[in-house]
Amino acid sequence: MTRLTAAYPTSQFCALAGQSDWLIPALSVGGTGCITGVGNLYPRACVEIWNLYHAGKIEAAQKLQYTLSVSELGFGDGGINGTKWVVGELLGYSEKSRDCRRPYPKFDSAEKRQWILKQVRALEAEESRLKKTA
Amino acid sequence: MPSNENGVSASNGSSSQYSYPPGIHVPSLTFFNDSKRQEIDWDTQNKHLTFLIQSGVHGIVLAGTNGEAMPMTRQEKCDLVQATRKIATEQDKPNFPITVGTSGISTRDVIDDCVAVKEAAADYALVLVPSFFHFAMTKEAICDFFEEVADESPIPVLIYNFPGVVSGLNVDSTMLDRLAKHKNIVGVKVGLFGIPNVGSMLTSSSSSLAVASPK
Repeated sequence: MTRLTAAYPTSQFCALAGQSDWLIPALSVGGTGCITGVGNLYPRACVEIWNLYHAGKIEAAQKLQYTLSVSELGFGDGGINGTKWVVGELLGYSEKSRDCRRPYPKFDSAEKRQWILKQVRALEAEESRLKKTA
Repeated sequence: MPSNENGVSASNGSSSQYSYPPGIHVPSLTFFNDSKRQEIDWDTQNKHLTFLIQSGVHGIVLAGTNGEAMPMTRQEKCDLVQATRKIATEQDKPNFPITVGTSGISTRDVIDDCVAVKEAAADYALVLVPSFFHFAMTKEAICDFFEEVADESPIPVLIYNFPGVVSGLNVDSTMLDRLAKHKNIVGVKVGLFGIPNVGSMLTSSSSSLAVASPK
């Protein structure tokens, strides 16, 4: 990423992180943003890191980045079916519409469900706070 | 030339500060119902798109990996684009950036994807390397592929580098250096080639954010 951002102006070529657990590191080396699955559940927290960083509040951005990294692990290791299940569960979507198209297997292990819930919710308090102040 | 709410040009105009809208883009999930054919559950889908756009994110990516692009038809992708554009417009964000993943297994199929989603009002195409014939895909062949798609696509191309889903085919930094010169290639989504887990590697007391790129 660094090589690219050094070689090309953002008006010509932009590099974006594919995950948000290195959003700030990516921004610090000239990246212009990220495309992150975490945003399906905690969009405001992702935008907040972006805003804090660009407002020069680096420490606050960094602190939120750590929390986000914990949450991101849940999405990354949970897979797409895990992500759909946990997003559906926490946003109150129909239980009948949380599976991937077959043959992607279902996310039906009670143990895994508990794990992903606990893992991703690291960001929940921050998201709620941001929603209230919006 | 239309600009979105961030003041970013919707195409690769030289006057714009950014070739692709900066910020947080969410790869929206696609929700399917439990019928035998697992059709898109539009009730849930529209609810989710509304939630995302209302939250203030800078853009949405439809039919990415999270959005299950591969098992979807081209028509379904176009329907998703139209639904997203409609919801964004209702929320007074008519120029909300919409990027759509391509999933063709041939160059012509990928180009057809780009043309179709443009007609449905998408702004950018997120293009993955076709990998069925991965054993034949040299670096040269991969670069030629992206350049031909970019030549023909009516919307700017964002390179999607994700070796994990394309049999290990990597678009390395030397290849990106070549591709970045194409006027219709506006950027890259860097998968894991960047600096994963770096957040957990830094201590909370660290004030320096300078991080070396691994490549």
